[in-house]
Amino acid sequence: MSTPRQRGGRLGGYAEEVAAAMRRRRDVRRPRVRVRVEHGEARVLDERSEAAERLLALARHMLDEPEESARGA
Amino acid sequence: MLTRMAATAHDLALRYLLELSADIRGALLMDRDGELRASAGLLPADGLADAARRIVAELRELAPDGGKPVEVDAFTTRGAMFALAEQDHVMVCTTNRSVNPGLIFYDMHAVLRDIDRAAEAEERRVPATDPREAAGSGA
Repeated sequence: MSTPRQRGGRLGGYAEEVAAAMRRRRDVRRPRVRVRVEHGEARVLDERSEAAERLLALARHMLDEPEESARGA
Repeated sequence: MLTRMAATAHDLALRYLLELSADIRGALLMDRDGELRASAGLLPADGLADAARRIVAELRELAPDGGKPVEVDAFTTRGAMFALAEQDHVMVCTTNRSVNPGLIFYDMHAVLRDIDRAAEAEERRVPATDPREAAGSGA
């Protein structure tokens, strides 16, 4: 049988796990822009940089209120 | 090279891309100058040509040398946008968030390669028809 201290420790552990899972989920869902030029290493742009902001705005526009499109020039 | 291809070939290429990956919602094909060549799937109704030009301009800024392949993926809360610039073309597609970027770029590269092959085949075919046309006009 566990003591109150042990129970609290276990609950604390659960709370930490939940907080860590939420933190990971938030990180995964955070907007990000990644760039790879030629065969170089991919790099993630600073999300506050102008290039990242412009590309994220374009991405939001492309994903906004879509409708079926089929257009040839 | 791009201008020698029929517009329908670009359309078909994008439709094939959408068939290759069920995760891809919509796709655009532009030339390296930003001119929109074709679009398919679910895309915004307004400002598509302008968005295409702006995406190409951003890619040019990321690789000012020009001609180098550039891959960009931008993940937002609503989904992701993938852009791939190669020698003659720029392809953009939109997906949901839960995709493997490597697989999306793989499919995009495959379709762009097919477009290049089709354009090369078209270029080879055009000179072969010229002598016959010339012979026909002389008869």
